[in-house]
Amino acid sequence: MPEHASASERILGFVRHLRTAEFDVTGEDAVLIGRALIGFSQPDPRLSRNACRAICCQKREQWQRFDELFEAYWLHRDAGPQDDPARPAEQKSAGGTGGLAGIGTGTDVFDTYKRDDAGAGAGAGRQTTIAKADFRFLNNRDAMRRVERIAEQLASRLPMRLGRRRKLTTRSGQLALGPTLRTSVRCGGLPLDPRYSVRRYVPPRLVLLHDVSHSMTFNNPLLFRFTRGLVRRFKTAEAFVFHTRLFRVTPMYRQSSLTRMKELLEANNWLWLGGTCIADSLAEFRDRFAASILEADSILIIISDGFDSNEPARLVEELRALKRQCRRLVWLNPMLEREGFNPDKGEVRNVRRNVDRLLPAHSLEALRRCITAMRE
Amino acid sequence: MQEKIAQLIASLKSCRYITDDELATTLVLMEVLGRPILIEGEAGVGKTAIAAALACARDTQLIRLQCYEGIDASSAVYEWNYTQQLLWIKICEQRDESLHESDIYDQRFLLERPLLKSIRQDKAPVLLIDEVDRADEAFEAFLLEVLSDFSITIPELGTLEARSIPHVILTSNGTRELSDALRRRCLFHYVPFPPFDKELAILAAHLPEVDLKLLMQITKFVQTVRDWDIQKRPGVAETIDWARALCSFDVSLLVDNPDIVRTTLSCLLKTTEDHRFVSEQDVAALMAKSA
Repeated sequence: MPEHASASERILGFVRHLRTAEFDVTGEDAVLIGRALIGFSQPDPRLSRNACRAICCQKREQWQRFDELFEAYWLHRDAGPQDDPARPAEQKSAGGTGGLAGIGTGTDVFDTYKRDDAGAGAGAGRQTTIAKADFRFLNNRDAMRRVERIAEQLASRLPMRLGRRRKLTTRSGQLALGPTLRTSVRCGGLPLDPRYSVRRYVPPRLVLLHDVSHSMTFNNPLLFRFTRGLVRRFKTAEAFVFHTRLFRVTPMYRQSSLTRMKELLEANNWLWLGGTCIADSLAEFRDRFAASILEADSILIIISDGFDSNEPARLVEELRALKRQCRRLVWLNPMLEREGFNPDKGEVRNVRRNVDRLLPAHSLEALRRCITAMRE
Repeated sequence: MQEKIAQLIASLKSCRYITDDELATTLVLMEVLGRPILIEGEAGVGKTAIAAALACARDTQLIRLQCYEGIDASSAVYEWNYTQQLLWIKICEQRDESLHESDIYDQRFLLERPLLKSIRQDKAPVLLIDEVDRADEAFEAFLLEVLSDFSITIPELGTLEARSIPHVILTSNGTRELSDALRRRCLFHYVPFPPFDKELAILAAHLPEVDLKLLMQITKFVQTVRDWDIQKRPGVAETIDWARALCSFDVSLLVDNPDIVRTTLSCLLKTTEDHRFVSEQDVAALMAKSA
C-alpha cells in the first residue's frame, strides 16, 4: 500500500487485499466501508476494524481470519501463519511446519501438485493431475481445499434411502388431508387446490474410523480432509480416529474453521503418531459407541493401511462382529494399489474376507471409485 | 459514531444485555447504513436476545418471525381472513346489498404477518427473522426481495410501501448453508461463547442479588465444561438457568453442595451421552478447581 495514497485508494486496496484472501467483497462494500469510516469523528483502529469486519465478512471463517488480514494491510503486521491465502505462494511454501499429523500444515517438499500445475496450464489438466496424484505427493494447501470440496461432492452421490418424515408437495404423492382442508377454505370448502405429501430421501448414517498412526502419516493430510468433508456434508455422520486408542472427533470435524479444528485436536492431544492397535480400537468402538451410533442402515468405513500390532485373529473377530451391526463395512486402504505392496499377504487377505468391500484410497480417483462402489 | 456506539452499549446494558464494541459497532452500522444484520453463533449465546435488547434500548416494538421448514409467504407476509370474508358475503346476501370485489379484499380482512406488520409501523421496529437457516431456499429468495425493497405487493390491494424501515436482524445456527446473495445483502456478526469476564458480567446483570463469588465459581465451572468433548456445549442461556437453579436451592458455594450441583447439572448437559460422559469424579474435580 503506498504511504501517501488517498483514503479511497487505501480502501480499494484493502478490498483487493481481501479479495485475494477469497473474501467476496464488492464495490458496494467499498462504498459502505467509506461511509462507515467517515462516520468516525476521530480515527479509531479498533472501531474501524469492527466496522470493516461487519461489512466485509459473510461467514464465520472469514470473521475469524479478518483481524490478521486487517492488521497486515493497515498496521503492516505480518499476516501470521502460512495458512493465510492472501500471502504469496513463495512465502507460504517457505518454512512450513510439520504440524499435527499433517492436517493441512505439511511442507511443500512433496509438492508435485505445484510443479504439475505449472506444466498443465489449463484447468482440466490440473484437475486430472490432482485426481490421479498419489496422496503421498499431494500436500499443497490449495489441493487440500480442493480435496475437501471434492469429498463433499462425492458424498452427495451416496445412495439415499426413504425416510419416515414426509414433506408437502403440490403435485404427486399421498393426499395430505389437513393442508388440503386449509387450502380449500379459500375456495368455499371445495378442495380445488389439493396438497400431497411424499417421503423424504435421507442419506445413510456414515461412521468413519480413521487410522492416524505413524505408518499413515503421508496419506493422512488429504484423507483427513476427505473424512472432514463427509462429516460436514452429512448431519448424522460420525468420525473417530484411532492409533493405540480410539477417539471421537465428530465435533472437531464439524468446526467450520480448520484452524479451530486443529487447535481442538491439538489441545486434546488426540493425533499421536505412534503404533497401531486396530483390533483394540475396533473393540473399544464396539464397547463404547457401536450400540448408540450404528444402525441397521449404517455404512461403516475404516480407513487404514492395515498395519496392526494386535493378533490377526482378533482383528478378524472384531470385523465379523462389526459387520453384523451395520449394512455395509468398507475398508479403504491407501496402500492397496501401491508398488511393492502385496494385497495377497495374510493380513490383507483376512481383511478382504471379512469386510463387504476392500478398496484403494491412495488418490482422488480411488476415492471416487470408493463412492461409486458404495452405491452398488 | 463513537458516541453512538458508547450510548448503545450503555442502553443495551440498561436492558440487561452486556455487549462489547464489536457488536455495538455492527448494530450502529445497521442503523446508519440501513442494512440487515446476519448473526451466527452457537445455540444459546444470545443471538435472539440481541433483537429483544435492541428493541428495549430503542424503545420500539420487537416483531419476530420464527422460520421453520415449509414456511411460506402466507405465514410470513399476509393472509386473507377467508372465514370473515365468507361471513361478510353471507351478511351482504341476507341484507340484499350489492357486493364489489374491493369490499371483500379490504384491509379489514387482511391478516398482517410479521414481514408486512414490520413495514406498516410508524416507528421503525426491530424485525427478528429467527433461525433463517431452517427456512427453505425458496423462502430465502423471497426474503431477499422484501429486504431489498421494503415494499410488499398484494395483488388485490397494490403495493404497500414501508412507513418506516425496520431494523432487521436475521439469526442462523448454521444447520444449512445460506445463499451468497442473502449474505451479501447483510452485515455479518459472529457471536462466540463469551470469555470469562463477559460471561460473569452477563450473569451479574441477570442475577444481581446473587453473591459474586458464587457467580465466579459458576462461570469458571461452565467455561471448563465447554472445553470438554461433549455433544452439546452449554450456552450462556444454560449458564443463567443453572445459576437460577442453584440459587433456588440457596447454594452459596459450589464445593459445599456437591449433591445439588450434580442434580442440577441437567441445566447444562442436555443429552444422555453428555451425562454419561461426565463422571462424578470430573464434577468433583471441577468443583474443587472452581472454588
